[in-house]
Amino acid sequence: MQRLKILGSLLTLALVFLGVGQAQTLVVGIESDIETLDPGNHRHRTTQVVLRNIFNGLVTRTADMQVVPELALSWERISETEWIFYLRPGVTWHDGAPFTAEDVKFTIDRTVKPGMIGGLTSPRKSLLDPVIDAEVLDTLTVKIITGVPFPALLTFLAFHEMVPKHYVERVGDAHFAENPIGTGPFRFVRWDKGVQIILERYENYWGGPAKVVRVVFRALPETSTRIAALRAGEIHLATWIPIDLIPEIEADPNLVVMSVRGTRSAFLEMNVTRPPFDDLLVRRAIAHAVNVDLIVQYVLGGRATPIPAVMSPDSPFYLDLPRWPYDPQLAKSLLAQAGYPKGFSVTIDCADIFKDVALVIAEMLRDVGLEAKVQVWEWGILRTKLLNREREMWVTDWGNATLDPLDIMIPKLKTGERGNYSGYSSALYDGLMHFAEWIAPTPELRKAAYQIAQALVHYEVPIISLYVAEEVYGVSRKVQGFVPRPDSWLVLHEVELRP
Amino acid sequence: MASYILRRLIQALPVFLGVTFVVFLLLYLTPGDPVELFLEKGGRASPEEIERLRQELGLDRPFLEQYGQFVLGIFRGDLGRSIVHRRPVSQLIWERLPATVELTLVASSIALLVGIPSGVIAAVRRNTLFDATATLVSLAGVSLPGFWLGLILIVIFSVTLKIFPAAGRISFAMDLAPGTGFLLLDALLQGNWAAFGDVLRHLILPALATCGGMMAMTMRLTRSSLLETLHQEYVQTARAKGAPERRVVLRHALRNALLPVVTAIALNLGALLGGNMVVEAVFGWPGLGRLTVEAVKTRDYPLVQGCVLVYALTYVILNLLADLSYAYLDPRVSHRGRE
Repeated sequence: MQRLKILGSLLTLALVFLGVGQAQTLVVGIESDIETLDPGNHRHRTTQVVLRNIFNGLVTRTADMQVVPELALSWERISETEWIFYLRPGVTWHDGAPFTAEDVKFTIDRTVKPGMIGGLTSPRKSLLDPVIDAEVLDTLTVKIITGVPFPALLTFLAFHEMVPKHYVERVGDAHFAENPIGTGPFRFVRWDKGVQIILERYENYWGGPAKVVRVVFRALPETSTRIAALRAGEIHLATWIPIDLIPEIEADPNLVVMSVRGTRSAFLEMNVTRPPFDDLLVRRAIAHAVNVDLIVQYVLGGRATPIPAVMSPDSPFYLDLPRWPYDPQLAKSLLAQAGYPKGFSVTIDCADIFKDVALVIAEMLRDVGLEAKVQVWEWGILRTKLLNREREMWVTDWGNATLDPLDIMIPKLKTGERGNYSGYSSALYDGLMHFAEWIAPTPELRKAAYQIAQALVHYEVPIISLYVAEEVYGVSRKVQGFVPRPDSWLVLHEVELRP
Repeated sequence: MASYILRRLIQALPVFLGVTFVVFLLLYLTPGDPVELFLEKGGRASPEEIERLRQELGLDRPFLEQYGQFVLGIFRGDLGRSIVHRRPVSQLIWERLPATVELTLVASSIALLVGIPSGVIAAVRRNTLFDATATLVSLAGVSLPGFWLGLILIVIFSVTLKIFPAAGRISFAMDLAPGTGFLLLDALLQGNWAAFGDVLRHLILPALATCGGMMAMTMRLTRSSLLETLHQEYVQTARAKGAPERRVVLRHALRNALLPVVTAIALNLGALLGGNMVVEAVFGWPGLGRLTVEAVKTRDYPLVQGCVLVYALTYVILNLLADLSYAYLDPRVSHRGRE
């Protein structure tokens, strides 16, 4: 008997070796482990990318970033500060219980009210800040109330996943964060911490069962290993492929490279609170000295889009201004006009990921007579130094997953905000931000205010907008129906695996 | 013996306090705001909310108070709550520690099983081809960085030959009930041979990438120490008495020759348990090293502290074990005199 058991085990082992029974399992290599399984208790993009397959939002976005219904079928704005959402009937949690307006209220409360998650406040609160309450009108109707008019509510709601009231109240927040249930296409099976998250399709999903039976997200932080696992056939999809490793994937006949313009805007920023960059002429000179097209072409392998001003071309708030033309002669004469005919010395700071870009910019600045060098920092240290206004010039970026100016134009450039490293302070800009956020009576005026502000930034150049880079995936040819998205979500409901 | 061990552990208390204080101070002085880094580059966060997060985590309190809280917590068995993971630090460490220990044990077993015998052979057959080869191989073992070796192993055995998985600790298809966290042991206890084989397959490449340095060190040290011992008078005596050469080497000489090797192994084990971050990252190995590096990057103070405490404890225990093993290897060394 014992011998039979061992034989059986060996057989299983052999089958595992041969990969039998795994055809319906899609394996995705992600660049880091997730931080939690509680969608309300993190500020981590990769965590959301994974959890979005277990959970749904009231609304979601299509691959081209249009807001569409998800758990809410429709909605109406009944006053400046009140929205009514009509929920999708027939939706069930993974334990079979129905999804209702109570769950929506529970989720909203848990997100925006202090101390609601095991005594701590949800770190996602400011991603839904103006919302103050939710009210259950009937089983499938819920009212969301904002403290002030919040025209971007739908865009921001897409980033909040609904959690089950009955379940969280019964098992507690800590247990929920280890054993979640959602309404999404896949239900949670197992999380081997630091290794993999295993999901199985939920047969009663309101959108119909997913095409693959199982999804495994494997945490492979080392890029070379992630690509090796892809080439070895251990994973079908790898995220975050760096530009210089693309040829390795292209050379493999079983793999394809897929990419899409992301949502992170990269900037060359200057400390405008002290010389020399407090002088507009100097900043313009720098703008003329930097050849963004060349950077995009040679450093980023063409996988980026130059931008004239802050917002990505994918945002409805994008303003298509002419970029400052590359003109080293003009840059030199502007520097001379500003009183620096012999140039000056400058250090360009950056974190490791921007080293190549910074080195090329330094070379371009040397061409116009500046003595430029590059210093690479650990980001946590550099950030503190930037906020203390200790540095002169640096390359960095800012994520804008909503593509709404609220979470890039305000934190980056409004006076005293947390991402405003350059120290830019303009009463006009701040006024436009305030107008757009709180006062603008129509979406058109809101858009106009943001676009005027972009033009202002473009004119005063406290930061030079460089580009929005593409996000690159390595994908097995077996994978069908995968669409890379600007917000880097991996929506796997429709993805198929060919044998 | 028990009281000796107890006293050694009590003597280690100041070491713990010293180490954690220095680390706490260094973290505190390193620029970088944990709350800001937690919120990442991007998205909205109002100043009020950042302040509230800071308060909830106790980061707004003075340095000494924060450190005091941490120390008091240790005595209550509470290492605090991670900023990033928002869970108890002790829980996070317990999840990751077995992976690191398991890898270290397998890697050092390989290192010792290969290192000691080849050291003995190299000493006995000094200046032969075997000795020269062993010297060359051990030089390579010391010089090749683990991450480089790791990537080469992955390219050969995972990408090209497809014999071993490139990364991870267990296949998703394996169903292993949670147990001690030491997966090899869990698989054995549950009689789950498929899982045992699977875990072993995942272990081999990272263990090979890890064991090089220790193997080389053990081999070189065994060789030189044994050569020295073989010239001692008592070895000559044993030979004079007509003991067979094998018995002279293995019974009389080797036991004494191993003393310095044991100390070096203990220190090496400590280094492996703590300093294996790079290999852990390359192989996606869910160990303590990776957890620590990520904690430092995000300035997750409580988590860094917890990890450092584990490292300090590891060194103290390993040194103690090394001291205790002397008594076994060389009965002249006794701890009784010091009691």
